[in-house]
Amino acid sequence: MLSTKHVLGIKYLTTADIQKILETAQQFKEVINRPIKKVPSLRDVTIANLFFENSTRTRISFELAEKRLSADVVNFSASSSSVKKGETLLDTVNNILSMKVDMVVMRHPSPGAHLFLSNHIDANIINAGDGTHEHPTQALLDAYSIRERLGSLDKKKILIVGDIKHSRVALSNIFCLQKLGAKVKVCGPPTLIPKHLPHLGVEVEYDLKKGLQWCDVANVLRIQLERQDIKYFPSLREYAHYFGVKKSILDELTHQIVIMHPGPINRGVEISSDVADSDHSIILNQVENGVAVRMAVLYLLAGQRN
Amino acid sequence: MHILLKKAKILNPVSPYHRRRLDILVKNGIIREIGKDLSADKAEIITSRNLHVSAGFVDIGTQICEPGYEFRETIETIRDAAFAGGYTAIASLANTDPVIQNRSEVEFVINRGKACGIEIHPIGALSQDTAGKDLTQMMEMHEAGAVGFSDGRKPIQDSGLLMRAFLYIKPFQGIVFDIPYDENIAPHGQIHEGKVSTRLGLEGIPSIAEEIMIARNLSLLEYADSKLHLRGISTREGLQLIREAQKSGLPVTCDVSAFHLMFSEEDLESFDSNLKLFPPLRTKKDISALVRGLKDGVIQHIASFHDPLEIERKKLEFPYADFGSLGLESAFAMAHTALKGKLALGDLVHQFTDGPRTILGLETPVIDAGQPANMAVFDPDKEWTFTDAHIRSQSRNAAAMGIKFTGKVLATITKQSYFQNSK
Repeated sequence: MLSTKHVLGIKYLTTADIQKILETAQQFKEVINRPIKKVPSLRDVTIANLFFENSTRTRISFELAEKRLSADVVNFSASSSSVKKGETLLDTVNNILSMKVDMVVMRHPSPGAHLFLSNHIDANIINAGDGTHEHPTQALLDAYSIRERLGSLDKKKILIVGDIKHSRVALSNIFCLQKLGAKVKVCGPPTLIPKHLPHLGVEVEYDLKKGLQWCDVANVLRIQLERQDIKYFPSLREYAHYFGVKKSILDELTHQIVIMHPGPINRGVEISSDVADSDHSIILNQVENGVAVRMAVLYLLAGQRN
Repeated sequence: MHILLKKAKILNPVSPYHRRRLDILVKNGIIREIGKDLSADKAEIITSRNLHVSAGFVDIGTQICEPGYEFRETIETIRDAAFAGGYTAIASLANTDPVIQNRSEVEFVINRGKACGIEIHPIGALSQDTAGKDLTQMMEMHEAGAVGFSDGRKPIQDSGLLMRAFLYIKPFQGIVFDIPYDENIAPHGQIHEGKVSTRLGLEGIPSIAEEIMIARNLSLLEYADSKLHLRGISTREGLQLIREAQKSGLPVTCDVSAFHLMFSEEDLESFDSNLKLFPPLRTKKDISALVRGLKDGVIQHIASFHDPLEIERKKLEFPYADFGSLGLESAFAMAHTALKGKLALGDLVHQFTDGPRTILGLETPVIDAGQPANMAVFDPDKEWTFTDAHIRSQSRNAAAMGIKFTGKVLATITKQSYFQNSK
């Protein structure tokens, strides 16, 4: 059981909650590698996947997780919905809930949208990304993947590289990794790093090579051009030159590090192809673990309904 | 109608009864008698354990919504909200539709106020349509009764415009009211930039967005040798700039909102859109500095920042919600609660009475026999919790919702009206 009715963000989970999710995910990872990948755990549960923002992998990952738990699933995307006609979030969700939906998986462009919703509706809510705030299941699957590769997170050094300012993945990762005992540094151009990040116990490094030399794991983030209506750096060329993770830099390090990326990858910008496809990289393991972690989250929340 | 205040401590420095605890008898809007153990037949009697009375409160920068936004607030409902908060006069902003920017619109607001029984002193628009570009007809508005000029909730960005406004109003000793804020620093800013904005992933508004504009405004003021009132100061460093300017003799005054004395960025962890305010709620260090500013007289007014908004603009995801909250009904209680033990009651009352009147060039009503009544009646010890039932405004966006206050306005008395709050 989790200490909370919803998974709105890592900062609302206890360390015990996180441990519980990771342990449960381990069991589900074993399940999804069986010839018959489906279990009946959520047979009477209806889940609505509400995506008010585009998503490919998170959405498919959640949908697969739900189907492998035998839940009934309805999908909703803002681009083909009444949201375009001016309906408010509350009205949209209340309409869907009137059709007897038990759980809501939502992605939304506004930070705090899930917390807002949780004050007004009864269903369990899982945050699949809220603007620049949190993306808790991504952080959980990242933590799971690091643990799988390195055994534990305790005292491990994790470098998050790239657009920290516009990244929900960075924020959730910071909260999650710290709760599990890891040390976190961030690296990127200063215009993409929140000024007050050190308040969260995070160090800032502007030199990518130094940062990579320091860390055990580098989590490379995508440059979120869609969230930038102001130019935060002059060109992708210059960004790739100073903050792109390339094989030539990794070869200069005195130890081997693990490379992660939440996807989708801008090859040749924040990460070069030879790094993304190398044996340093656990990018595809992250994707696989994503399904198991989301199954664990859904399963543990659904268990509270009884 | 006859009203008898029993054992009321009078806080009114211009009154011969200042700081004395006496009975006050008001007959048909005129103070008839002040003395001990007064009695009157058929009088409405106001008593409370620690009854106080002062001149009616004045608010600078109240957002009126008539004409144009009557679905948010009418002059009638803003009068009720004002009376509920102890106010007998407001200096209104020009962001209506049409904008208050010529003689007839200024007169309309004054006359609507008179018709409804509330003193409204319009602050006319500084730029045409508050678009921040060209000057309005300020001389004419001044003649019609405008007490100053401002683009209201829109901070003045164009330095040249502000400089010309400062110069233009000199012949009649006009005054510019501005919220100092540089819109280019954080165009999508939601809350104060700091620890909380970082934790919540909300775009932050750094303190420098205010400080830069205070510095600019003060430079322009010095150049033009004019008069300036800065609204809603929220930062420690900004306040320090004003303190230094006042010391050097610049004619600059400033106010702070009651919200910025009560709440800090830390109250936003819940993403409560009722606390989405402009200027944004800052840090506890800023609050301490603002309290210091009230004590040493740098700040001369605690304003309500009353800004009614319909529910459709507030009950939304945080980034989609508009900035602003109701304030008239709660400002005194909020400021009193936040400042209890930090600022003497007389000094607090000054911030609601003589302070704003001095800025606006108005005379403070005298609590004395023979004078027309213009009084706020309150009990600083009364504890109460602000609920929906305490809202008199037509809108519902109250940051004060659910807050437990110490100090309550019990009644407001003017020559024409008598308003009593429910207990």
